[in-house]
Amino acid sequence: MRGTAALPLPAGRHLLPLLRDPAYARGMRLADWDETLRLARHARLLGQLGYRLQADQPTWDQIPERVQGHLQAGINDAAYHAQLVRMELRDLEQALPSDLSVTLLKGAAYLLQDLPLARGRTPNDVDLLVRRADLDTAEQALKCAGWRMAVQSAYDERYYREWSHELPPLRYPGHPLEVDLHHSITPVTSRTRADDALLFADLRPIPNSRYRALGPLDQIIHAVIHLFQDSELTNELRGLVDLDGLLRQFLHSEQDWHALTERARGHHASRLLWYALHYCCAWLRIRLGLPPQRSATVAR
Amino acid sequence: MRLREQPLHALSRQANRGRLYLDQGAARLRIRSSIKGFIRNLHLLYGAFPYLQADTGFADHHVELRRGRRLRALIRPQSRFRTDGQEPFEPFPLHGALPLFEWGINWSFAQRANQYILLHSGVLARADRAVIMAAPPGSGKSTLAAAMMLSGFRLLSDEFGVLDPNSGQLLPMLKPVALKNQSVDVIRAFSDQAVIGPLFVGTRKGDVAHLAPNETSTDGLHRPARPALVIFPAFEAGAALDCRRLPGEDAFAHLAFNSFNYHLLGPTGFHAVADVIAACPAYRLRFGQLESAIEQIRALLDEADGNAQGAAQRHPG
Amino acid sequence: MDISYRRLGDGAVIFSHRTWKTHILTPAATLIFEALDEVRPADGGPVPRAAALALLRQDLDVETDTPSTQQLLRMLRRLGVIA
Repeated sequence: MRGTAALPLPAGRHLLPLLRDPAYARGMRLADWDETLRLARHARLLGQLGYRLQADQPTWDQIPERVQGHLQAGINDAAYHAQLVRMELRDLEQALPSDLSVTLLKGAAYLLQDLPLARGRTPNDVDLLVRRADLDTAEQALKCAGWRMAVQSAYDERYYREWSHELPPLRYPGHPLEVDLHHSITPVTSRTRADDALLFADLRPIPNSRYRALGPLDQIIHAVIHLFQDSELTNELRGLVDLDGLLRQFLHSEQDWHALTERARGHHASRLLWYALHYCCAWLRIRLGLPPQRSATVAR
Repeated sequence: MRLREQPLHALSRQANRGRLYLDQGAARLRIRSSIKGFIRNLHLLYGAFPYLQADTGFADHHVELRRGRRLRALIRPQSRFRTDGQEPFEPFPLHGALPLFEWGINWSFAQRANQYILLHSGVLARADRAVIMAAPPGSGKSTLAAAMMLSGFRLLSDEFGVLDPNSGQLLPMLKPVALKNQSVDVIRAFSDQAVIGPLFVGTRKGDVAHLAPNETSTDGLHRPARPALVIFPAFEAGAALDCRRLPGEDAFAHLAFNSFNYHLLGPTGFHAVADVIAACPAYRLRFGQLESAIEQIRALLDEADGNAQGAAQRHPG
Repeated sequence: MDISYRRLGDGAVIFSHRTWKTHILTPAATLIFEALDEVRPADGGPVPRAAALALLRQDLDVETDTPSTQQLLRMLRRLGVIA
């Protein structure tokens, strides 16, 4: 499939190879960095890129100083956002009843599980998942503690409640981050319907934390579903980088890949998984650990 | 070669093609603009800056100054500032393109340059020993910075104290000094060496004119300076000179909490600002007259240098 | 105790790595902080409250129930210096 799904932007010429292998930076000239940094910033990947390059000392030393500066700025910005998430989670912990099961999704989950993919990643909000039956309790607890809905009109609020898988975003006055309270990982309007029973049966405690995370396979499926909810290409690239990180983190054997395809079937997300893996493979060259006949299908 | 040695039409052509590069030290800009009056102002105010012939193909900020195109732009011509698809400000009148550009650069730089601690301060240097001048608007900071440059100090920055946490040094972020209201005439009267651009009347910051950085300053674009002295200036018409040492913890609070991005940098910002305060005596300087204020700053710098040398002799190596 | 401490002349500043907040210490507060820091248990844990109050009253001759001292003590408790 080489070349069939190149990022349709000339700047992707360097960004994708860089995301695949930091050592690619050694062959880059100063001019090559110009568009690459702008695209990475636009895709909100500057911090992750910076972190990976800095971790590879011999490569980092060969990067022009001006470029290092931009990457360091991205790393610092990401560290600040990670700190904001930690602070928000501490405040939420005070507000939420301690016996309520609360699961972190996406950025906050990657951060508290200390996954390598969280390093340099810039989370933009805090996503919490509770059982549908606990939604009112959670919402009331947060409102009692001072969080407010950011949505103004009653119409908007009804839209969220009826058609979405989350409440209108909540924000504590003066806090920079919004909190999204979800009761599922797919919107009601979506054709894909994740199996909530399956999801909630496999929650995992996060060590040293009152919060939980989805099971590893469900974290992957959620990243897949999320990927196709966003229509902006540069956001999709970030979503793919997340997915790539999760695959590398959680899948180690052919059996793991089998389990993932089974899990996707259980969540009615097989097609989405196929597409997501297709792009992951084309753009980031993730090595698919699927059985031969299946990887041939994916790679066609 | 300096920018002013380049014919105006050549600069205009480059700007038209979006290939005009400008080096401000901590930031290198690539400029696209078809506004002739703006390029003329740039030619004057950035005249002593190096002319970048070689197109390295790299810029930290890509900016565009263009005419407004909507219907009302026919009646009242406008200028608009864009950087990487973002337009942070409402359009300005067409002739106000230069102040719009200056504010636009400040905005982009403050958004992005989080590899540095961005102190809200002017920075001047004598022999690469830096004076950090931090104060809120209206304190006469810019006027004093302008007068110091015209008295032989090297100007690194009027708005940003760009502190590199790795080296502990201040980097130039050199731009014309924005003089407001009466300051324009004060500086004109202060020195006949002052190159001052056109007066922009009634901007959101009042009447503004810009003082061009001189050659001493532009020649040091890539020479950092080590913090030596922190001054919190406060102009008061007719006031006698009054200089008071500030306790370290107060100086720290003033410097850190007025910075653009101290909150964002966490431990890095904390240690970098603490290093500055540990190394520099800090003073509150009330002044009514520029000459005596500058004389006082020179004396404080001598004293700080003496102490630094004394300390070095007491602890050799 | 997860803080960075920097003495600046007679005063000092503290950075909390947990909250990313910066605390400014006056010279008096600096004396108190340093005295408490000296008697902290070897494991780096907080100074017990009673011991802290006794130290302030007896060794430093500080009134412990004035509003400013109370405020300082609250801050030191949040920072994990005292229990």
